Amino acid sequence: MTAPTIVSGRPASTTPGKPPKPRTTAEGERPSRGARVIGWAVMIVTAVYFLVPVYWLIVASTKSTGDLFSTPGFWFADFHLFQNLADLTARDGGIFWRWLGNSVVYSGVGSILMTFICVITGYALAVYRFRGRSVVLGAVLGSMLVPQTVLAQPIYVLLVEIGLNNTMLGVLLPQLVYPFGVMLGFVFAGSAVPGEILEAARLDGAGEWRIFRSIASRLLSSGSVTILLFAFIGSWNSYMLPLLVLTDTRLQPVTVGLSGWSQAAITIPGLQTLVIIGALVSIIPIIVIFISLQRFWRSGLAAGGVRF
Amino acid sequence: MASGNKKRLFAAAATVGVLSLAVTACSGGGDGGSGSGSDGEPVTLEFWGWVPGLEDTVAEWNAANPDIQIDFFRMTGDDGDKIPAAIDAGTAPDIVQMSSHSLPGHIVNDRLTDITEYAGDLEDQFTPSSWGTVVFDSAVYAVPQDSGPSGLLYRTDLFQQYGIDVPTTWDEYLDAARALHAADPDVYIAQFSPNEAGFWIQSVWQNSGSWYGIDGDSWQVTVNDDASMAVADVWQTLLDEDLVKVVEMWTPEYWAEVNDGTIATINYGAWFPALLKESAADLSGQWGIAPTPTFSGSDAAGESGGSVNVVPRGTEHVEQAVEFISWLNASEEGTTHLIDGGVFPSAYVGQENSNLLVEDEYFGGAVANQTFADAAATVPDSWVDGPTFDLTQDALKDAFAQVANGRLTFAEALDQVQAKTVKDLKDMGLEVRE
Amino acid sequence: MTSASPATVAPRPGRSRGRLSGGLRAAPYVFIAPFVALFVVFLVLPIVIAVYKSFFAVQRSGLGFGGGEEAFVGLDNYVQAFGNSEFLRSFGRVLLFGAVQVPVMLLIALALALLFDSAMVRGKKFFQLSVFLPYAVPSVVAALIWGFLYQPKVSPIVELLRGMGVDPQFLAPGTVMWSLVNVVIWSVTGVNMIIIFSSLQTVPREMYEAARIDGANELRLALQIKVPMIMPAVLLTTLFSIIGTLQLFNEPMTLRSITSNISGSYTPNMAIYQTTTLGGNLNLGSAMAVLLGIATMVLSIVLSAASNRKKGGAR
Repeated sequence: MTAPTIVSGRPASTTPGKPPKPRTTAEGERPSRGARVIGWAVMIVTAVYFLVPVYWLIVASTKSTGDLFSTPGFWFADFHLFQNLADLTARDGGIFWRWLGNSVVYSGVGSILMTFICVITGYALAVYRFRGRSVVLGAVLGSMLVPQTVLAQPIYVLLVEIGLNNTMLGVLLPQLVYPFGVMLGFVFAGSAVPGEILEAARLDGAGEWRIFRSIASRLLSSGSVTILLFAFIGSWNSYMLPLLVLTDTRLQPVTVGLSGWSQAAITIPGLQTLVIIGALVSIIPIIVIFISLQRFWRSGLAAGGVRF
Repeated sequence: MASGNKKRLFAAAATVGVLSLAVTACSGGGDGGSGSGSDGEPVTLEFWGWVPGLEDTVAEWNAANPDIQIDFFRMTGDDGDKIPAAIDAGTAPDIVQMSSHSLPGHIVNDRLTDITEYAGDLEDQFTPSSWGTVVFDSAVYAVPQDSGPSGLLYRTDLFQQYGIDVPTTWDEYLDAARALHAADPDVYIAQFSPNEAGFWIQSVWQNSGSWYGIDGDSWQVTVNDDASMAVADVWQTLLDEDLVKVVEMWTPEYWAEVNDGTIATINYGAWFPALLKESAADLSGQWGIAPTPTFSGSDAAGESGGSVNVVPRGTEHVEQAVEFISWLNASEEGTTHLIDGGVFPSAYVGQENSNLLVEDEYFGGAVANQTFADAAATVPDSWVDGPTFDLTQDALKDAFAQVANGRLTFAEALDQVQAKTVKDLKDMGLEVRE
Repeated sequence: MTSASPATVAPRPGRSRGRLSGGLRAAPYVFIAPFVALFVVFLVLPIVIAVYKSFFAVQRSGLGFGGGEEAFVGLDNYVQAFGNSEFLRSFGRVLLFGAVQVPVMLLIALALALLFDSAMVRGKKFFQLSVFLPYAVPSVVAALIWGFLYQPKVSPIVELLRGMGVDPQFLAPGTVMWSLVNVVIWSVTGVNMIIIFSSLQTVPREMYEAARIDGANELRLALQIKVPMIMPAVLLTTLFSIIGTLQLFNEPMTLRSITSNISGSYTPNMAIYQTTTLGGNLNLGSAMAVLLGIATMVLSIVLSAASNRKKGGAR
């Protein structure tokens, strides 16, 4: 819910194309023993705070319905994880896995397309001066302030007009509008693609598309991963629109499906367990993506000169 | 996100369904009756519903009725939210299951088909209270599906242990509440759940009350009329004397209280026992069932509303759609499927069904559904829903949260909700007689 | 809000005019075409529809059966929205919410980022990941999890605290907002920390050397050099966090199912949802949504103006 923002322009020390000096170790002399103890203490408290709810989710996922609330919440009872997974799979003919697959399609295909659109748009806005450029930039910035509640209903009506309601395309297309990603692409391109290189390439007779494809896109790769990550998370967590657009439960993404279950689960402990294990399973892909992309997007944020 | 009412309707059905799907799968049989499109052309109708096992029901119907093919879509928790958008965009199905309380809201937005022509003669087949919820200004807008006549579930062991008689009137109920709590300070006769308006609706309905009324060409709002204030008196006493446990319904917290034995009675609809069995399985044999305590001068039971089947506007084949929902909800075969799916049917033919009236081990071998079936016949037909029902229910929850916190009395809360409801109706441009 | 002018990387038309091909002139338009097309269809058009709808209302009479006529009513819906005390109160509520949540969250994020940037901590990767992890948990699921941890009879946290002689009431009328604040802090601190941390990484190292030679310790270094350097970033994060709180929806909506102390119109977005979904009044809901949009823009303009002045004063 909190959107980070961007300051354009680069830090004084970095010149275009040259990322800041990498720092593997922190500078200065070794901190005192006291400082290190405090550092550790703060870190442990922090990790406990941020991890405990996830830990609870993991523990709860291994419990049977009966044990869920009758055994200590922070410790394992009879190990029921595989039974829960089997129940999850059995429910409504394995629809949960279908939802998960749908989410992978929506977020996987969606975030790749989003990234492409954001990067090429941001690149064009950063690199070219053209009529209407400032209008587009202003619109992109302004649109980041529009409440989603304004859009959901009209978008649905539009999709019906186009005939895309209750289709996967109807969920995919609207999410491709990702102004935050465009802003990221704009800032990345502004700092990572030096004008000189472009000019040189043009003098060599390269076309604009080829310049983008073979030069700029490579310079923008780590920035692209950052956009991809944000796009993937945003898309994985989207809820309102798919709920409205899809009639067929078999097309739902996992967030909508789980939320539907949790509505019903308030009254049914048997389903409660499935919501819990389902929630755990549903965050695994996103964690895997996050960890595997960590190296790229971290350097993307830092090297892109993005100062949020 | 769904209104609480829809949520629990949905949940109630879902629970039993899991248990009885096997039964449904085996029961099979049953001839689907007649059924052909009026012009002989086969038609296909789309049906959104949530009763468990409807897939099999529909398959059976389709096999027997080649001219009226039903295409069934299962609704999950939040799906109700998209019905209005779907109808307004012209993409609605031909038949939809919904809460009876949401009917007027859809009618004033012209989203439903008046089916009086095809369904008008079904009146005799349903209990007056359930039929009363589908008729507005003498037009029929839906066919009742299931309902929730009330019964008093009570902890036989606790009542026995403390030598307390099971109350038959609300006055006796208060006495029993005091006796129970005095005998064991950890035991309360009931819980007060601000988030569950169903209890309130049920008691007002039992007392021949309603939130709305129709008087000629204008709406009436009666949220704080005498019938409701009588209910408020009972609850204010319970709350003031600390005889009820304040806990939000349906939460794990709630079920923990039930399982701990702090809640001695639950006076609720016919769909509730299934949830209780599932969530408090260990208490099997310790619960009994009795008729809901009565208000003086009446032997009526309460009701909190059920679900109905509607034909959205824009449906081409209204007659065929009604033919199907008549079969589903008012025929022997149809209601058998509903019962197997775990709901308490609104039609008499369903309430007399031997699949429904079975002995229940959970209630010490009593035929719990007999108590509910008897109750169904006594529920007043006083209840009228209004176009702002969901808003009123939401306002009631918010006001009752304040009551639970001691900031308002029940009477003050009702006055507040009354004023809000009148304003909401007027804001819609409707005529209101105060 | 942000001045966007990467002037140096734009081609200099003066110099390259001679070689300007038609391709170069058309290229930017081709490149932005997919985005602009989607933007117009799925963002501009819906906004136009919403604004348009907000000037209409369904006119009914009597019982209203059989529907009504949609007619132009000018600003009536806006007048009605302003007359709705619950709706106005929801703005006050989220502003109070933001006034607490945003500073606390950013202070934590800033402190953690500074710690990660110092030599005081080992195992940075693990700790950074654990702080960021909640961001990957969908907000509905996050609220669901915390919901379990808030309910006295089932919460291990309550059990733990009771063992220590404290009886916490996470869902009482006076505390439920802070419980909600906690859920949001838990979810978004990570992403803000990472952003501030990235910003810290771009601060030129030479500045630290100079300060160290002057005898500054790590704490002074952090407060006097690092923080001022990344202040613009922190201010803008603040701005967007506050905008985020105005849009609060999923978390309170989910927690509402376990406590009635969160009303149906607790936040502006919930009030809009209530009006459109429960009340079925799309026109009034559109007007309320437009008002929320305008309020968000006004607030962001005011805040960025204020932060600009502050920046100017610091120079």
